[in-house]
Parts: sequence; structure tokens; C-alpha cells
Amino acid sequence: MAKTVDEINVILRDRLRATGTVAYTDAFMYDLISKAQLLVNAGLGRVKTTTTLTTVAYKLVYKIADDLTSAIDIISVKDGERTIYKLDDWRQLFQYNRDWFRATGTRIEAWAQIGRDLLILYPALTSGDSVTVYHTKLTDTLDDSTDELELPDEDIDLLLDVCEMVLHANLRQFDELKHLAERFKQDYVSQVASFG
Amino acid sequence: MDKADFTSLAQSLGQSAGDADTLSAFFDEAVESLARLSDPPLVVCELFPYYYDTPEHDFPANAVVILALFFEGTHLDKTNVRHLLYYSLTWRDDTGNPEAWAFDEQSARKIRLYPYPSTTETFSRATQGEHTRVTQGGHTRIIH
Repeated sequence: MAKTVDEINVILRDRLRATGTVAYTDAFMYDLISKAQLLVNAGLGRVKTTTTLTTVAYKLVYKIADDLTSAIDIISVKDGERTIYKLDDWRQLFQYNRDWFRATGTRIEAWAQIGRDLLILYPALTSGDSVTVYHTKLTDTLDDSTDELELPDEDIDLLLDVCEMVLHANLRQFDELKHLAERFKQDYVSQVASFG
Repeated sequence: MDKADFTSLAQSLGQSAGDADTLSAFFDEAVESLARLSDPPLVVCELFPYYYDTPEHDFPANAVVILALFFEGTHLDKTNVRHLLYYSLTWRDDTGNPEAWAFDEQSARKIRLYPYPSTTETFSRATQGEHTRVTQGGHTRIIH
């Protein structure tokens, strides 16, 4: 069962021996937990979803921040049931066809990312259509004590560590921060190795 | 998270003891460092103006690294001035549809198009409406 913001908040205050005090406002803690969840999911890619991207005639460059507003990392693109081929490096398009930027066709054959911000769907279609994009999700903002986290329970320790590190930095407890950072690094590598 | 959010968070963590100018400079440097990664997080594709009879153009003020430059849809080769000699011994004077671009080593923040577009040339490549031809030149696409 997913943990709520309030449960995380209580654990953090216990860890920092901040129970019964008002060292941090709830709004500050919710914002911190929200951003920590986003950060952990960006690293581990646990929470995924699909989004329908409406394609535009003659357009093959799509800005992820504008057209796929909840996407962090794109995993696959499908046209109906057909999985579109992924190019690991967008520069392969240059080797394939120097005029790729204006190429048109009857169906999208390949996709690639330029950096983290641009999605290429090659070639462009001559009329509007849509594709299904499977991607890591930009987790929702948490702003209420009853909001449930989207991360699975096995990743909650990492989220707690991120929050705790920020709070130790805020309290100028640099020795604790250093130890925690080392543990976080080991746990993060372990989580990546365990679940991919 | 934009610059204002970042500086606000940093001030919050630093209990408002941070120097605003230092934080601003730190943010700008961090963004520029990220832009130099092989998989940069901030990439834009935008129109880049060119001018007829002008071989060199200013490096875009908001660009850190140019990833690709297109002229009328053609992906231009990135090269350097020394290699332009392999294209043509008269490369400095050649005009036509650009095929390559380079930084001029004598003025590193200038983009040199080879060959460079001239008003006497007939541009043969088809456009798809995104290209806005104006009297002094036009626009090509740049990804940076």
C-alpha cells in the first residue's frame, strides 16, 4: 500500500528528532517530499505511463516539455500496435539521409531523442496522426497530507534519504549529511542493480 | 524548476544568507555545464537567420553548443576552416546552397556557412512552409 505524505512527514521528523516542534512548515515538507519523489523516479524510472502524442503534418521535431508534459524519459513509441524502431543516436539520421529534417513518408519508421528535450519522429507524415508514447512519469505534485506517493514502497527509503540530506544541509549538520550521502550512494546503486 | 525556484530553494536552505548575485552566477554556470554534456537536458530547435552574400553569421547569444544546423532541410556537415580546403580551393568565395558549417578560427564566435548563400543563386530545395524568406536572406534551423 502506498505511503501518504503525512506518513513520510512523521518518519522524517522522527529521524531528525524534530517531533513536537515546528522546525519546518507542512508546506515546506510537502514540497520537499514532492521534489524528492520526482528526483528518485527520474533516477530509477519506477513510475511509468503512456501518453498519446498528436502528430502534426510535416513536423518531426517535438519538444518533450511542451508536447509530453508528464514525461521524463521516453522508453518506447508505438503507432497502433506497431512498435517504432528506436535510434540510440539521432545522428544516425544524418548518416541515413542528409535531408532527414524535411523527409516525409506514409508511416513513422524511427524515433530518437536529441538531448533530453527533443523527440524526433522520422519521417514526418503529410497529415496529422497520433502515436502512443510510453515514458517515465513526472510524478504529481504532493500538497496535501493524505496524498499518496506514486513510488513503490521499496523505494521509499531512498526518498527519505534525499529529504533527510536536504534537511541536514539546512541544519548545517554536515557530518550527518556526509554519512547519509555515502549510504544513499550505496543504496541507490543497489536499487538500480536489483530492479534495473 | 526555473531559476527563480532554484534561488528561492537555495535561499530557503541557506536561511536567506545567500548572496543573490553569487547564486545567480552559480545557476548560470551550472546550466552551461549541463548544456555541455553529451546528453544535454536543455535543447531547443529554432529558426536562425541568415543573410545573402554574408559568409559569416553571429553565434546565437542563447546557444552554448550547436548540435545541428539545417539549411532548407539539409543537415549541414560540421567542419572546420582547414577542412574546407578539401571541399574547394576557392572556398572563401564559393556561393550556393550551404553544405557545411564551421567556426571561423580567427573569430571563433562566428558561424561560417560553406558555400554561402548569394542573391544570384537559385535555391533549389523545396520548402514546407516553415521557411520564411525575407529580402535580406531567410531563416534556417538550428538545434542547440
